[in-house]
Amino acid sequence: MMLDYDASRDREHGQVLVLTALSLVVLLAFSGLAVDVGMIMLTRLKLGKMTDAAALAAASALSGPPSEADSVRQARAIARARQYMLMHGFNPDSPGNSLTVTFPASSPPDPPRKLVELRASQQLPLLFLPLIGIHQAEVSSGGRQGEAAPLDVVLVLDVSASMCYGNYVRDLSCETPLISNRRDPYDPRLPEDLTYNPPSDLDVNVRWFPFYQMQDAARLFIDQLDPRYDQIGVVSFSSNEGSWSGQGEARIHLSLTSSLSAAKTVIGVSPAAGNGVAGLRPGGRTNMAKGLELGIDSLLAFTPPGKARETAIGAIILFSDGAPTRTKGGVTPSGCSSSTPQNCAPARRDVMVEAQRAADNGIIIYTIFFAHRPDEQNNGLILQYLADLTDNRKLDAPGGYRTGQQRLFDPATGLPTGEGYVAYADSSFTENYFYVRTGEELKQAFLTIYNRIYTRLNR
Amino acid sequence: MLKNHQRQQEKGQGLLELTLMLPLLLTLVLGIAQAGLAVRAYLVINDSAREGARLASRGHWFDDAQVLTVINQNLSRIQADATNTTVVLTRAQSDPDTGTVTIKSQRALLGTEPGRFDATGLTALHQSAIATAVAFPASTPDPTMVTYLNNEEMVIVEVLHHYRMVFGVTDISIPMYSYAVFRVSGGP
Repeated sequence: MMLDYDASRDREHGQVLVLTALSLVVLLAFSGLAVDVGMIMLTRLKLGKMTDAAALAAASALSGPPSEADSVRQARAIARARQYMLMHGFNPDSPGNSLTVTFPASSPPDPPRKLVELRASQQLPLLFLPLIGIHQAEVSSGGRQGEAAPLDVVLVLDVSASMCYGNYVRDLSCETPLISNRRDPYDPRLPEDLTYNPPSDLDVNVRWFPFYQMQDAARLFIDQLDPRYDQIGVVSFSSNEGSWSGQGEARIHLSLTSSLSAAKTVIGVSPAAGNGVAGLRPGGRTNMAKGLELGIDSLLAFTPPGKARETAIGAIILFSDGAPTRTKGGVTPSGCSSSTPQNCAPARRDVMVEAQRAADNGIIIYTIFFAHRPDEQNNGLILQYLADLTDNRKLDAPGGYRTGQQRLFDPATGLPTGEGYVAYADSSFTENYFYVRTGEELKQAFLTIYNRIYTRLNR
Repeated sequence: MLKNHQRQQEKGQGLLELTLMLPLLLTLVLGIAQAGLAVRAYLVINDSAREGARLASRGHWFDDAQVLTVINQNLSRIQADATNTTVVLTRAQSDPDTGTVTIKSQRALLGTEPGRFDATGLTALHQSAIATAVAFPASTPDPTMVTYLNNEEMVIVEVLHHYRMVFGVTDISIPMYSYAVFRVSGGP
């Protein structure tokens, strides 16, 4: 017994110390593991964050006109990827860091895509694991794909008679022969415009027609598209269209197509406007609702075989130099003209209904309002409304329009809730509405729209 | 007798060893747990900044309230609220010619601390990023590329958080900070 006791006592001697020492080693190793693994996780997610940002930014650089070589776009994408990694404090050139940018190609019959894949990695020095011989770990973000979405764009163009009034002098050659001898009695610019002093920065000696400027700008926009990815459609609207379209007071000139030349043919070349029945023909009153309806229809109806258009972004660019003066059904509301917008509520309401349909279907409407008399900005209110509705999707929110913001129109009645142009200080108001006064500004507006081409992350 | 006495002494020694070691062990174990929780908190901060900036960069498809909602969803995984967390949303635009960044709007969506970015700081960051970005391949820095990269519309979301220790010294808080810069690209 005694002996046994002795033996066990010997064993017990310093037992706690030994146990503690042993467990201490294990614990230290574990705490080292915890800290180092924590660092690795942290670095990995930080890399993930910046690689996401960089992949998106790089994707946006892949868009360009068809004349541009892929190598040029890819050089831009690489530079932009590097730029955004650097913005987050990651220098791809530092020792231990790396950033690889690849452009995954899709194989036929899959449609080509504007894809970029980024992979960032970093050699992370470890704190505790060197004790067991692991000195650093390579941490990688994993592959992150950014994509510039292909575009399905429908240009919805105003071809009402006022598009041919430029420099406050009417040019009959701009309008179609069908109506060239008939002055539009509803256009507010005549005869007042003849005595109105144009803004000082407009050159009155240059013939200035909204229609011609629109042709030039629209062609410039089409030139930005890439037929490998993008598609374009053209719709025009005016009360005259009813005479030959058979579709009401608007016409689908061109369903969505990748044939950019066909689109440019429809648009025509300024100043030789009025390209016959096949092209745009200015004249008549403004049936914006019908134009929007056909624009939305042509985006929704489009399901071409063999093309993954579900990956495309649907957008409408609505161009107008006036406010809607016709209902969708082709009726001029009593007393309604561009100078008496308060009487045009039914026409506006039709436009608003169509805009809601666009918003419901995820279609964004960019609007460009073309005018050069300050008071005409009032007429642009409805265009502001359209752009904001489809951008912010707020009308159906509880309590109606955006809280804390001025509502432009009452959706129920189509009546303006306040008069005057609203200069929004609120940053959350849409920037998809453009007010332009000159052809140059118009071109810039089209280019800005193009540059906001969407990008997305594929995960 | 002697042996018995010795045994009792040793028993006491064991207890003493344990009492000496226990705080050390406890500190270590709790320290590991604490470090793990702190790392987790930082990951959430990092994620919040990214998710918020991603949403805000989609033009105005999402408004500030929706951006905050998404950030809050992330933040709800840790104990973060206006008392210990600040979220600053900055929308900025840089000049295509000079690369000078102007701030279009800057507001705290949550909390009251100031953000760390102002126009000067952003301009410096933007310009130095471009300078290094175009220095690749090193031989041919392309001036048109600089112009191209200059022209940026961006959204920055900063998340500042004071992480409060869970065990022991709970009155000590660790400041945590993460930001994300996304290029505005409109749309869904």
